[in-house]
Amino acid sequence: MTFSTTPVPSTSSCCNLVAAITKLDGDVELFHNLAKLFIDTLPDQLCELTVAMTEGCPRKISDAAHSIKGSVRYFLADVAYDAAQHLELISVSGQRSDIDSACESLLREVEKLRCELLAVTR
Amino acid sequence: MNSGQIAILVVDDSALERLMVGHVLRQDSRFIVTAVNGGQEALEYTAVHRPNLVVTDLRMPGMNGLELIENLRSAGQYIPVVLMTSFGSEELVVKALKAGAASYVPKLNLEHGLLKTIRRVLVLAEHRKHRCQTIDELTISEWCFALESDPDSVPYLISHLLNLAVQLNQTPGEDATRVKRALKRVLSIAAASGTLEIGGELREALEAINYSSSLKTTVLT
Repeated sequence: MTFSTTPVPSTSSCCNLVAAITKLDGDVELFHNLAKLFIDTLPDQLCELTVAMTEGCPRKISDAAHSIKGSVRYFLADVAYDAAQHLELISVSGQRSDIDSACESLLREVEKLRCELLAVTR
Repeated sequence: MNSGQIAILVVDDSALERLMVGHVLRQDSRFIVTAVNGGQEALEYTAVHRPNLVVTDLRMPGMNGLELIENLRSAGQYIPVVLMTSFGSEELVVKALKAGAASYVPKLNLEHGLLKTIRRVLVLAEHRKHRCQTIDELTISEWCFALESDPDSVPYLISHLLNLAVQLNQTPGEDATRVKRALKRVLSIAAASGTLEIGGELREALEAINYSSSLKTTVLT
């Protein structure tokens, strides 16, 4: 695995990788490992969310969103974090159409983050 | 494990969190860290390995952090447990603290708050361990009170006795309530009549916490 330089943030970035590494006391290797784990475990997390949405189970949707929220926080992906938190909260109280919309929004943001992390960990 | 080393079990269903917590904890060279991904695995691990401390996520699928604490206590394992909490878990945190969690750290502050919290909890656990050892070596404990015949003083005496009982026996909540009720009744009679008899309900309550054999109380009116 090679990751010798600090990633350069782009203006259209969905996360703040430089700040994220700084938050890890500049430990680039740890950041790299976290990013790789995120990419590796994301399919399972999304699968859990999809199953929960299909079942229409508020508790499971909330749990899946909570889990994703915990993962994206390391990359300071604020929009994805907020989307996960929003879905986590409304899954137990919101209308189905709002939940669907929140889920789509989360999936979109998480995919952006995944692509960005893929690019910097290559 | 060498002496001076401290075994810590990390319980979290998220691989990222396990990696991060492990990284934070390994900054202290005394810590030997093992991680499992759920409450059931944690119970199985602790039954065999008896770690010095458990750090657990509060919200997990299957057995959550609160249930893990309850199950550990049911199994007679009083290992200090530190919770990792996130936004929206406040009610569960309160329940977990009431169930015996030693402390908690918000996940957003893991990188900087976890080590500090764990070190503090370990110091407290060490104090508690030494206190328990000292109390185990205690053979006689005797208190003498010269009390006025004043019913108003009874609640204060009860409170004081209960504090002593808790310090000596780590009297759990239900037993403490039972002892308190019995003490109130007996001491109220004693304050009114000038005589104290330890019997009946009080004796039963004290025996329940293995306490009566070491209790010698004199009430002078």
